[in-house]
Amino acid sequence: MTISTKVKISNMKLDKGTSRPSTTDGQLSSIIRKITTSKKSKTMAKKNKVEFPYTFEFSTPKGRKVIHNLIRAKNQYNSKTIADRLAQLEDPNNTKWHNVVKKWKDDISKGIRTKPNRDLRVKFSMVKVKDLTIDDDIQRDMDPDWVAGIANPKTFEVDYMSMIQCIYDPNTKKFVSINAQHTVVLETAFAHHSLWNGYAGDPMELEVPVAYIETSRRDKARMAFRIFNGKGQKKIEPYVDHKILVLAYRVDDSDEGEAKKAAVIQTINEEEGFEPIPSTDDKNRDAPWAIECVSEMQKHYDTPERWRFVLNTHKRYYPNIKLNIMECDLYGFMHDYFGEMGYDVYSDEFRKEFLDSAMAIIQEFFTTPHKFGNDSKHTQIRFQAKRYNRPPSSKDNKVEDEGSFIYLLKLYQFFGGKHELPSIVHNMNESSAGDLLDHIDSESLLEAMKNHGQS
Amino acid sequence: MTDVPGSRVRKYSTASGGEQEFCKLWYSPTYKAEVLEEILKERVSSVTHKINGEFVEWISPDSNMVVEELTSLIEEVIQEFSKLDLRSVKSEYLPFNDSEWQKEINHEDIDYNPNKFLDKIDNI
Repeated sequence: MTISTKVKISNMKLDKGTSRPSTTDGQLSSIIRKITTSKKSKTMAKKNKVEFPYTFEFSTPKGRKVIHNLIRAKNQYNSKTIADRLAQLEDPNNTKWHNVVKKWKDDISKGIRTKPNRDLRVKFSMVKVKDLTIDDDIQRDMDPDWVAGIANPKTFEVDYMSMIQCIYDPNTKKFVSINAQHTVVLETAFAHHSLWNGYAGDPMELEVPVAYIETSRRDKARMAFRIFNGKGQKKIEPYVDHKILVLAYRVDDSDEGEAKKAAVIQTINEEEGFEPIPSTDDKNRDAPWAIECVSEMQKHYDTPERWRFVLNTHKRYYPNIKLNIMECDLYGFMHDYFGEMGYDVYSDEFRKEFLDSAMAIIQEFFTTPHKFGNDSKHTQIRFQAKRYNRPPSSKDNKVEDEGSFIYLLKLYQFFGGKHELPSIVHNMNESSAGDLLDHIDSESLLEAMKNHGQS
Repeated sequence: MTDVPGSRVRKYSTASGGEQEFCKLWYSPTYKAEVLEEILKERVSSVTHKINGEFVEWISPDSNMVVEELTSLIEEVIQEFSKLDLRSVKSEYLPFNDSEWQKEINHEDIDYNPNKFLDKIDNI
């Protein structure tokens, strides 16, 4: 129902039948030139102050507050019993689980399948190094640099060394290592160099902890290698990584640098009323200040004040919806670039002269930052396609990190924003492709730009 | 969200084995309806139904949410995000079940004469 019209702004011809007589192509060109002229000084900006055509309409925060799950005192642990977890699993709403159980029971009753044999569960043993062989077809080539990495004195911890995973072939009576060869080689090499406290014997006589399954089938061993190395395993989502670091600092008093950085970010979240959540957090899922883009948040471990500005800006303009991933960079670059120019990004002056107007553009034409991000992405792709003479569908057309920030700056400038802008506003302007704004295809935005040019 | 409500309501009827109807309809350009849909999904995320471990576009039967609450929520979002400009279809065309007398509820007719079919923004 929306008719998309592609018009190159720099080539925009005014309809003489509908445009005002006083408007000329020359005037429109001068608008385009605004995009490429040098930045205004702060003094000039004040002298030439003109009313910005769009005003941000603020809304009152009304969503429910998030539950802060990571506020914890030292040595305060949360724990669940296996019985608790079993009860959670057996909730009738977990239909996927109940369907699996039903399938098992049906198959067993029909004789299609037998009950799993407990005797096949993995077993444990201490095995001498000389009794282990490594199946070269199953395991990867040994990487000496990887061994050196594990042994890095700054990070090496004996208790983090994994157990050696093997199959035990009852026919040949041999343990065949199928995983953790780097660990067992390192363990042996430490004995070779007499680096173990408590062992000074023959390295080949060293006993190592082995978890093994009993089988003569190599195909099972091959599949086991894939599974032990992550195939089909539940991935650790960024929230879990963040939680471990925060609790290591807050509860366990860890002095690990990364843990402290995570705790600083978490404190900012809590001070600002936000909370990162995992995909399983049913209690916080509908709270607008729940953060789902945890990975983006983690990128701010080294720039906490940038993150604070992202949260502040989000809740100032969109307090009733969740933070979108694109806002992290958009507000983050505002913080970086304007901060570098010496502006206080929290000042009333900055908010009134730049931020409110820039955000009003987003609200007026895209409603939400997410939609602005989508439009920005497609506009950048069309620009890139033209610039490099590629089809728009080409995967080589990349969206730049700062692309949405530049796009917003250009729109702000186009509509008469007078605040001094960082010089990056001049980027994405190429002789081969024109300006980024030449590649807009939003009908309402094009119409507004045309009208603005006529006013 | 649909471009063709008649076709959609018939599909729901076919799939459910019973005649279905839309008690309310709102109209807007697609990209604005997409924004509403996105915000709405956020707001109902704690009562969204799961089937086989996947969230589906249904309210959970275990939740206490009733139809009136859902429509109020939609109207709340429309008022809050005034730039959405979503307008509700007039009550005289509702409930919508693609009856003969409702065939005018389509893009062409609404775009040609929106005030005939749609409430004013203030009446939402």
